[in-house]
Amino acid sequence: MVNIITDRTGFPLLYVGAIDAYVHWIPITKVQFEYFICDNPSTHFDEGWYQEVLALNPRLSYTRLASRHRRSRTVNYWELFLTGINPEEIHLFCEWNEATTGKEFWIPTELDWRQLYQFLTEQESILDIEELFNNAGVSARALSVLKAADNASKSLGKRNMPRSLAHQMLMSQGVMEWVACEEGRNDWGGMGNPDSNFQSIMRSPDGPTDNPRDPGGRRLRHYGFRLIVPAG
Amino acid sequence: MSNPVCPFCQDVHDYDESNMCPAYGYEIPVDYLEKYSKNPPLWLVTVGYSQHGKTCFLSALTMMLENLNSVWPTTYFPLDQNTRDQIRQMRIEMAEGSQPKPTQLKEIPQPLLLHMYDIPDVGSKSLIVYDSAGEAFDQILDDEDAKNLSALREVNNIWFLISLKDLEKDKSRRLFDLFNIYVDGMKRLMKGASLEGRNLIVVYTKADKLGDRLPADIKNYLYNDPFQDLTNEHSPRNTDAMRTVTVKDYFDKMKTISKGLEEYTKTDIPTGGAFINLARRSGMGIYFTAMSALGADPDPYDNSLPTDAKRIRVLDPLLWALFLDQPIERTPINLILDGSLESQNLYSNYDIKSIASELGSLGKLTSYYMGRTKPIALPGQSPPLYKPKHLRPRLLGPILEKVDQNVPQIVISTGVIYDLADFSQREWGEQIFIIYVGVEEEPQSWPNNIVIRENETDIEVANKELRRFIKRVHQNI
Repeated sequence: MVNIITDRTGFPLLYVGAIDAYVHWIPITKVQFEYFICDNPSTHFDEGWYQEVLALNPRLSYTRLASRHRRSRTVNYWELFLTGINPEEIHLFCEWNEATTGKEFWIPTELDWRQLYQFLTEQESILDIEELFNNAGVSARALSVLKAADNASKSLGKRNMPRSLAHQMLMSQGVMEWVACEEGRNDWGGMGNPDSNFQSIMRSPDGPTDNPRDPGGRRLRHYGFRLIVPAG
Repeated sequence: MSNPVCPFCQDVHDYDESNMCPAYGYEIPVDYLEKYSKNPPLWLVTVGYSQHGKTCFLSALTMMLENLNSVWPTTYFPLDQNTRDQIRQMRIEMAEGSQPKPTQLKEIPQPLLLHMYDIPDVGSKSLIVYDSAGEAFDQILDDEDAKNLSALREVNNIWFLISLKDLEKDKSRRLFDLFNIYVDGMKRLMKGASLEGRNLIVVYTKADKLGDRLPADIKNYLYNDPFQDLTNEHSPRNTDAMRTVTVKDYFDKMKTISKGLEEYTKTDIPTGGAFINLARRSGMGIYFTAMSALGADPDPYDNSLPTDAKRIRVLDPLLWALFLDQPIERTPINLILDGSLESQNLYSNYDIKSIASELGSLGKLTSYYMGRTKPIALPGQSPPLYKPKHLRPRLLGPILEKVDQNVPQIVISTGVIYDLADFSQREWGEQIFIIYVGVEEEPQSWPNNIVIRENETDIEVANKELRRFIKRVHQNI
């Protein structure tokens, strides 16, 4: 049985027994972060902040995504996701989610991410996400975004080859995802791998943790995030 | 708890800042604001030609209210100096037996403001009573004339005062004409808003002059008013008999008489039937009363009144208004303003106040900045006309997700709206109207939009388009 909860924006998180936590279905999208920006009239997440982020990775409407194919491959789908963000900013988004859901939202550790990836790679993708998410109380707008992302991930795989759940959840060919490092030079690193048309990096998604030199400094256009919610 | 509506300009203001009406400069009584939820307002306005008895009626009614405590547990309390001054004047006129002077046409009419407590079967109310000058109705030529009738906007129940005797003498006028003038005035004032749900309380004034022309049952009703001596200071008042009258029984009788007067209007008054049909076709309720504020003609030698005037069925119009009172739910409209860096141009160089006023006349406005889910002004309050302290990205989605999707959304933007394409479905296309300002052409395709390049002319055009758009949206609800 598939266990789903939603975050403050109505987007789903899937329960994964391997880490005893719920994990966001796809990396955090611009649509989700916009709810936070609009609800949070701070001097930090203002118009200037968002223009800086969009300059690195422009915004594409999910309504336009389905129509943008080249040789049956959805192009620029990564423009759905919020990237160019640093871990301190992600924490504020976590706190905002916690304020009304009463649940704790964390950036996954590198171990969490690796275990997730390995587990989800062995699971088959879900055929009808609409039915799954409708029954879980996912918002209508979120469902539209998720369907667009799902079509994009379908277009990335080889024809007639079944997708894994990890692939469907865009843990590969999505974005680089911030993780908390347990040991090493920095507190923050990256897992996953972005589509090569977005940012060309030779790595497998669960390869050695990427170590950006200055996580809180210069914005990294290919770095986004997803969150986990411990089940306990 | 609803926010107090200003009794003068009928907008909602920020009363924490000041209790002065910013539009007209009158001081809003503190009692009115503090007791707004316990004493909800009842808006009343007299409509009628010059010399048809509007001011006389109001004067008589006010004197009746002063004395009502003798028979019902009802007290009244004037709320401001203007009201106290007017009541003082009425008392002087009553004591001297002189007639009230006709109301002068004023650009900014000032109402009587009264608290009425413990009206049987009704409760407590704030009465906001406008006495419009007869000249305002003699001819309405344009929007400037309609401004003199701005009190009509919030009023659900209108006292339509007609002296049938005076109408008969004036060969050029008909009952139907006054209603047309009222409707025309309302159209100019409300710009497309419907009259549906409002009530016309037709008050035949100077009923003592109609004599045998009235049907017998109506004549009996008039002559047997238990409260006719209520304001007498020199003759016996028989308040014991008055106290036996219950409001419910009195009102039941009023309803019967209303039907009788309606029949009389159709059969005996020229254009009476047409007037009734037109009112009903406009979606208005129509009710009838007859009364005499003075009970008799003035002395022909000195034009003064008998000092103990009989007030014949003077309470009836008020009781109709009290029982019919339902607040008008002004149809909501959302105004979503640009709060980006480029919006400085919008607030500095374009007459956004004109657009906001236009929208305010078409419905109850709630204002937002794009990129901020919390409204920036209370429903019914005028929006701020400056860019926000913390600049906001042009985002609509989080606002649209929170608001009622049946409400028209008017967006004013100086550039590309980031998430507009997310709402490109047909339903949203019919609910959102975008006004682009400070650009040469629309930066994004949208079915309902206009570009303002030249300030005055284009804003006039935009306002016309907005009226059509909002009417269309409201018709589709």
